[in-house]
Amino acid sequence: MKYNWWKRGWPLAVLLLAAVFAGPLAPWDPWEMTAPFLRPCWAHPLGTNDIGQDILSELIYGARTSLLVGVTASLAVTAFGSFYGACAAWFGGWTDRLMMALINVALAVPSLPLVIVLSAFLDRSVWNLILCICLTSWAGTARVVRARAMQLRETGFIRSCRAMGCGPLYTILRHLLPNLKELIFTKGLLSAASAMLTETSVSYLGLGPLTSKSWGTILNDAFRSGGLFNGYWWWYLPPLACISLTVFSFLSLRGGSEQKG
Amino acid sequence: MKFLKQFFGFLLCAAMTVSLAACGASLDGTESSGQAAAPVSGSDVELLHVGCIYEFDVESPYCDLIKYLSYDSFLYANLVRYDADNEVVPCLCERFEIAEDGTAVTFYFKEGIRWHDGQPLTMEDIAFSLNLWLDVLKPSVALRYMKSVEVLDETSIRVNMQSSCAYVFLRHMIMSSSGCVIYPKHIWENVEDLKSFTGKAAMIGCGPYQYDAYDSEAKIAYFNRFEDYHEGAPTIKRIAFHLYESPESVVMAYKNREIDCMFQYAAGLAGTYVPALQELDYLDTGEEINLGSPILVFNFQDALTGDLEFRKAVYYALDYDLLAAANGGEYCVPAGKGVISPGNIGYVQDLPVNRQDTAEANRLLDAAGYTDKNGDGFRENRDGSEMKILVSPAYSPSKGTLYQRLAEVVIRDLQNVGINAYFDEKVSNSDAWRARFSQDKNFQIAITACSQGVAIIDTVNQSLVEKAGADGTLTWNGTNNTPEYVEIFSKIIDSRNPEEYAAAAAESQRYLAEQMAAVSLGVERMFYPYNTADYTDWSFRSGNGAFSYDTWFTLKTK
Repeated sequence: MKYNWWKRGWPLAVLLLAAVFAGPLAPWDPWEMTAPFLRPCWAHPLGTNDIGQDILSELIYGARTSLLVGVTASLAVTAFGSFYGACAAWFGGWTDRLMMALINVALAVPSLPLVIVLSAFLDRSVWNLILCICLTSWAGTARVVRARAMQLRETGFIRSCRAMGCGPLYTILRHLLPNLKELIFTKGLLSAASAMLTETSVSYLGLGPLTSKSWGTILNDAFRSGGLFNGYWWWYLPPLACISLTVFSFLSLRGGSEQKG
Repeated sequence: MKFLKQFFGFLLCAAMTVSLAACGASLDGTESSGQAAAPVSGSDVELLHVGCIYEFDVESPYCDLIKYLSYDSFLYANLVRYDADNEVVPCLCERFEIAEDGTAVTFYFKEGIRWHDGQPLTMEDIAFSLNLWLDVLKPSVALRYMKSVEVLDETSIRVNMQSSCAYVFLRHMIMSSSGCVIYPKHIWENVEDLKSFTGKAAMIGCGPYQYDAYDSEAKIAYFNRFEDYHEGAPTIKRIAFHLYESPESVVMAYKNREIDCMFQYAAGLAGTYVPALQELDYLDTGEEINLGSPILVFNFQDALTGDLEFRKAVYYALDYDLLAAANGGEYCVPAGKGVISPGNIGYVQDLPVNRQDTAEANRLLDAAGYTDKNGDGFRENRDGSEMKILVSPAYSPSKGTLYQRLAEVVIRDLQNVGINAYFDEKVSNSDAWRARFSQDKNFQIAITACSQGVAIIDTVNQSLVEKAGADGTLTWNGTNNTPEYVEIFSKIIDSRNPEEYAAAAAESQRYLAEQMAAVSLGVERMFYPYNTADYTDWSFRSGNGAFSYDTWFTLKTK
């Protein structure tokens, strides 16, 4: 049965469009300050926050940060992790053992607390947050790719490559990794979902980027300003829904890639 | 067979019931069987549940919870305390006398004061403790003004000062640093490392409450009243402090009726929780004015923010209504010029309320020569060089992102009058903030707060002035060292009585209003909810709510 990418990926596509066209789509400049604590009304469909910023516009612009963090971190983590895992598998022996030891150490460190600690000591920018996420989440991809690459290494066409005198870099990039693309794609989707959740968690704790809007910071603002206790659902439910929907979309696509693979 | 099954089933049920009953037995010692007699109206309170956001990390004066309770002479009584209006009154001592020139204070004690272990309190205990402060603990600046301690006789002691700061010394000693309590000499005299000495012996004080137990699983600390307290036994027999992680947890505890009131030094619940609290009919919300306030501080050592015209322009550029709303919703209003909050000693009523006037801000900047010379929409310095203003929000775990939100508004307002203000992204933790604001002082505009404690002890000026005091050598926390300001703050520090202190504080308020050394970003209402359904005769200390020293002696069942 043909896999219907559109059926599973449309929320992500909508989100991507919202992020790209945030300017024309958002009814207000998300940094513009009007009357604070407005309930949903015609002018502000999701009301305003504690400093009078339009929550719907924040939400739309927040998609940019969340997707930027998710996609960029995922790309970096997946690229590095895959290459690292493939190298470990290719070289084997002591090199593999050393590289595996590093992977095990990285996996043993609890990533979210480490991201929080790192975020607290670096400047509060989106790129630093992406860096923190990359530093703490590459090992999972590396380990999985290594395991599959070990199996692939023993297959005939890779052995032939070796016999023909192909260099390691050429073989890894040209033959090993392309044959693991379904796995790498799946790990990439998982990494994107995970990075977005991490960004949300860090921003929710008030350690996220200072000058960008993100769904986590919207949640943080709502929580800090008593939004939860006072029942301002229009403030905290939409970012929660966006995060859940996006993560679900990434995970659904993963199902598709596995099916295809 | 069936009978056996029923029999074992019955046994199992009985065993479970017994186990559950055993689990239900609590440290608080109250009966859970429902047979406890209903409290008689107007009688002493058997057990008061108090919520707070502190840790009970160690059984010693260095415990987080105990440190803040000591400000109210709870376990370790202080020589003096604050009364309902935050004026200094005797506590452990019977009376005190400040020398006419303000260079000494003599404390007189009643006979028969006892420690919790039954030993008598002696003047040697007092002298031992104050010398520990002086020589070992080296607490806040004003306490370091102490020169010597003299035991005069068996019931009096004199503390000599290096200048005429005896009155402010008293204000400081109430809220001094961690560990600055009156120690029983017979327990502590041979202790080499004060911080590492812990346990029940380290919790012997002479305050109205003595330590009983800490339930680390439930995070509840229990204290019993000290029957031999020299001012008589309190009316609350037992107090349980429930320790929580955040204000949200405290609100949830109120909702679940776990607590009767809260204790949080200088920080009640924010107005944003009021709608949730108002639904609880057993509570009075306990509204208080925050005697401190969020403030915008200028660095006087920076060329731009050191310029009065520029500071005035910033003052007029700010949207005070929005800043107040961001700070406390409808429970925060714009403050007046000057920084001392209403309710504080030194507050001057006739100063105008802060109001935005962007036209005036633009006029002031134009007149001062800060104009847009290259047409990029932002003003340049007088010499044509680029003008950029760094706005640094304080990092505060307890206040969350509040200061960042206030900074966002400030930056927007400054940009609206053509000042290229930008966010300080380097302050991402407490150390970075301390380095920026207190150590390196390399900020331009800082968004921070004057804590209620500082406001009560010696006014907000403490965090604005760089040095002051009779000899001009004491370093304080701020950047302003203009002679006029140093002189005014020195008057506060060297005031010899409440009248001089109030006059000097009021003078500083007028200076702050004229010179814009700092700008208050709102007068905030804080909330210390308390149980009015079961208890009556609560007493209050201004800015600190219902769980006060006086309440311990007045509270009755309803």
